[in-house]
Amino acid sequence: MTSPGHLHPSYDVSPRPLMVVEVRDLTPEVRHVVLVDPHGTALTPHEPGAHLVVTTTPSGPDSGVTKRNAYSLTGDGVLPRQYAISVLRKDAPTGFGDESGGSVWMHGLEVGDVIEVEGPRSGFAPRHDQRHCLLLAGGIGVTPVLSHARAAVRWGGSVEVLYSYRPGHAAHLDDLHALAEAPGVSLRMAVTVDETLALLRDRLADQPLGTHAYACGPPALLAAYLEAGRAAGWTDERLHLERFSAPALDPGSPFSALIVSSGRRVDVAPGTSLLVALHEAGVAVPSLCRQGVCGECVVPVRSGRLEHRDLVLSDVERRAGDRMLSCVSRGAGPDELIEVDL
Amino acid sequence: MSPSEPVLGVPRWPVEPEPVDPTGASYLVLCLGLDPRAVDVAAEWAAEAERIAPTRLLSIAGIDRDRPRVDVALHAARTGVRILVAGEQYDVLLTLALAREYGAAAAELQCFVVDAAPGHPTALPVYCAHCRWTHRVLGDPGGEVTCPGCARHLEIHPHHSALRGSFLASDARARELA
Repeated sequence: MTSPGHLHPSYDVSPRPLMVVEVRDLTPEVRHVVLVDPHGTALTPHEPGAHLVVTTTPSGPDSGVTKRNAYSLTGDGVLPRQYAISVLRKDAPTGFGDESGGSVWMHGLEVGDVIEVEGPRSGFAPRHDQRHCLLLAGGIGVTPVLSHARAAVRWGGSVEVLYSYRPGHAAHLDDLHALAEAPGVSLRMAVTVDETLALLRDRLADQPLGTHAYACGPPALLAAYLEAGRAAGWTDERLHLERFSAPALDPGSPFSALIVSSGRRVDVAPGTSLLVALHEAGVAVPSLCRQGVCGECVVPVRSGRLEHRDLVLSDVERRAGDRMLSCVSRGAGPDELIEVDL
Repeated sequence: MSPSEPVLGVPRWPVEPEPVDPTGASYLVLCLGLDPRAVDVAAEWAAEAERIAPTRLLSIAGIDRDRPRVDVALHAARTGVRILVAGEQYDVLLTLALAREYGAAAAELQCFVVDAAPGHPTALPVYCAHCRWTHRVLGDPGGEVTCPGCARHLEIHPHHSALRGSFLASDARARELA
């Protein structure tokens, strides 16, 4: 096995085969999948909140069509012998991209199957200087939160977990209850929107100095979290979040992109993304979520006014105007010509 | 380095007290010492902060003597607080370092010092690299002093540690020794 960047195979993060050793239903829609190295080698350690990228073939193994889906790891990341992920089954397409096929495919996995996995990748790591940790999970957003909570317990930190869920659909609630037995760990739950909002307001107002908060959940919950945090005087650097879906976007205006290396001009119609237009023009751009939340499909831009519609770039990066997320962002206004430095 | 470039590693003090950051959910105003200007600034800050959110004004004689009182206040503070510190450099630098130790971030700290005048030695927290202790020393970054701990002739380097709250100092004659 070759491992670029590090000689030892247990530090491999390149796409490689891993074997399913456990499949378990946590709720009617959430399935827990445990992966190991087929040769029994230790797996690459990871930061809390890291995720795997799984190559799925929703149209069947012979179709040649593959999709790459990101799933949060639920372990603490310290010297793992196995990777555990929990997958919510999405039967209907959501948002701008189409994530449904991948999760249905994941739910079809059986013990003994070997799948291609890349990572772990860290995109939601804790601050190492935090004095206390406040975690907020909404629904399947519990997966990275569980990872953070386990890491906090392992390293002796203090953590408060807030879990908002629909009754009967609380994946990993038993794991969180077990963690809450440890000193310095507390768990609070909410099962309605009003309860969740009240809990957020209450708990964000009463955390020790030096607390950092981490939230993962649906867009409405994250919006409420940011609002409650700011109202409680929290600076944005303390309010961390990970999005797994984005609100639906309108089709946008038509625009054109000039590919600098080839001089070729690509027209992008409303409802089509630059990413898709580039793919059709034969320009490969890596992508993952296709909703503007992961940052995978960022492309460098030389000129042209941009309409940023992603949830990744900071205000400073947007003002610089030298990059865009090709899955959702567009040229600003009809018939804008942007130069893509590819 | 041209004279207009800021000296890196040395605190840059506001010339006038900054207005209170209005985004706080509570305020802790620390008045360090009895300098009339510091007392005035702290009182103005506290009055301004009270109009925004619950505010606590704590006046102490100095950080060395009354550190436990500041510890209690920082321990009781909740995330969302803004901490405002006024006093002499020695107290302000060490108090800011203490607040950072409790987890306060740069955006949550404001300060004003009453004795910052370039070229005029003032009492500074100085960490001696040899006796490994932070002393209160009258001096200037770049100047030379005698260490109150180990009696070495020290150069105070223009290098301030936000974590320790002190300036680094080391033997000014180390290179001359055989």
